[in-house]
Amino acid sequence: MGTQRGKNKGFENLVDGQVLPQPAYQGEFTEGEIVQYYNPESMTWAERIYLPYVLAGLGLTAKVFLRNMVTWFVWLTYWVRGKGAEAKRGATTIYYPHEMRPDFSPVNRGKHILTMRDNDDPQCVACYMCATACPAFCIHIVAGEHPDPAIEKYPVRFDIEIDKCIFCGYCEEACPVDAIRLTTDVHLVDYKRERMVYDREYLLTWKPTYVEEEHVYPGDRPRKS
Amino acid sequence: MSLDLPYSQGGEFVDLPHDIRLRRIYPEGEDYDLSARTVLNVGPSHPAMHGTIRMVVELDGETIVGCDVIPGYLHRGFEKECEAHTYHQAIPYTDRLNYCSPLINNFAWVETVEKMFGVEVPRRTQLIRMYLSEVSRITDHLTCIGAALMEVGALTPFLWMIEVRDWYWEHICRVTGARLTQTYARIGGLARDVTDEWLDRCEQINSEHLVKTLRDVHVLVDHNRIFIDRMRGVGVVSQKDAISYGVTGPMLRSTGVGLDCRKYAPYELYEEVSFDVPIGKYGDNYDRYFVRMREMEESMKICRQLDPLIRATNGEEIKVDDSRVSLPPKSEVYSNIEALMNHFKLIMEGQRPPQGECYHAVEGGNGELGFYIVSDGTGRPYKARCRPPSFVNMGSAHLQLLGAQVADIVPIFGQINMIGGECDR
Repeated sequence: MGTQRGKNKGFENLVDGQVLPQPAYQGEFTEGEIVQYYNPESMTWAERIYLPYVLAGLGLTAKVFLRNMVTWFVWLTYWVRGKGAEAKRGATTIYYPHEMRPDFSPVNRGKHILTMRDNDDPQCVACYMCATACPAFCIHIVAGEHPDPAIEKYPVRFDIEIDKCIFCGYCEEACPVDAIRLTTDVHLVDYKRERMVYDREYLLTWKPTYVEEEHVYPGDRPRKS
Repeated sequence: MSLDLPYSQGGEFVDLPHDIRLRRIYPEGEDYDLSARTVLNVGPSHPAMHGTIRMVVELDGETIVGCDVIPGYLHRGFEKECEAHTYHQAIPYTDRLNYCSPLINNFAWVETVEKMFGVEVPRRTQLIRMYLSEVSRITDHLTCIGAALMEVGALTPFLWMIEVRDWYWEHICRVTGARLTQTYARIGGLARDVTDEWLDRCEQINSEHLVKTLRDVHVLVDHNRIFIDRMRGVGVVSQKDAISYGVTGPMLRSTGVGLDCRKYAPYELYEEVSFDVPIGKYGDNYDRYFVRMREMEESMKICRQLDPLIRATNGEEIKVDDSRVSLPPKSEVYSNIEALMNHFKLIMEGQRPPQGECYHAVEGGNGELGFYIVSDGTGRPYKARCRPPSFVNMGSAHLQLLGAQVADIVPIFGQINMIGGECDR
């Protein structure tokens, strides 16, 4: 029948509430540098009486709090001179959407864009490569015959269901004529689901806001005088 | 009803209504009143259950005397979906398996396909893959420990660790193009090359932020008796059980078994770097916490060894020069009809590995992460199977839960580190 309470499988090495050490496994795969790392089983008197280590932890959090507070006050002296952006802040948080994080990736894959030829026609030749490569099947193309025989085909319709898109960048990778690109824009919100389908005209004409690359990071922003 | 199998020690099975199959243990004494027990449903909406798992526990007072762990709330059909996509298109799916360390999943998948092709990727690619795998392992453990500490009431370490993780993620985004759904690996190579500045900054995060955070977290919780009482002796799995249940990763190592895929079955160039395998002693939650903390330091050590090796191979190819496997460079595609045809064929039909089957395992954040692929010679897998470490580790959950207290459910579950995307696939 069932096993006895407190002596079931997982607790066979738990005797009277005390954990017994397990024998080291003598297997053939235990070669290499294996470091046993554990804390002693019994608590020291300092651990037993709670307070010393609770106070140590409190001291650490208080130290961090004071450091951040001082950093904020130093930042204030810059801010009153209108140089708030130059000084180091006491917190890593930013005021989104009024500012972007400084280490925002310049190669972030975001909203799509369709490139144009010199005469404002789409660069796309409707070869369906992007639609084929798309793992989410969110690109829909209707091809038409282009008057210029050198171009042959062009997209009459080019729809991206942006709410289905997973931003893997495969369309960009698959395109043989550099017609579709992923910009860094990440602001993809709307109140209507219908508007989350981007058509050809929108993809050709919307203006992306590129983020300039700079190698400054929030935690270690250089302080300038 | 009782099963006399060696692995059925965690009580006997009892069928309750609503498809609940309880593992129940009985206390001593024959005049025990079963009607005094309470059945409690934890999850899937419980915040600690990630919304992806449900536990039905039977309580005797505060003690858990019966449990049924019901995963599957995040099942997305990864393995079946793979059969409808090319090998290349399946890479984004692997991002979503273990979303705490997507790059390890990426690399595991493409390495399995490369193994089927029999191609060897360039040295630089392997070094970068190792480097990013270790960074991913750090982010995985940061998430796990941060969340597990938060669940036992320590909110400060969570905030500090997630802050560091966020710098890693945004920095990974600078080379992969996405913070979480990175899709960085390519069959036979990588999507983008890393630069020296990137490595500099990564080393900066390692040496300035991660080291300090780990030190601070050690100061905050290690000797705190509240933490010790919640973790020590809770969720104990014996060494024998851990091996017989197929438990891998930090959970297995916490019981004292130094089993690490990077050591006993080295893939990529893990033979070239030296690192320790930290193991625990008691197999309880406290050891798991320590093993994970130490593993982050070891990952940092590997990153530091890899740094000069990657710089030494600057400018080398990161894609294997094999037209069956890797896409031709874009400059060729724009100008050269052979390359264009090759490009079209690879996108439309996908890479077509020879017929056969293949299993490849890597050391993921939670343990052995393996992919098993059967190919019928077409561009899509005939069958793909993922060996998810969390799912197997969850198999030992009842051993830890039975006999524990109600309040121990959350720390035990937190230290198993079940990732819904990986467990349910």
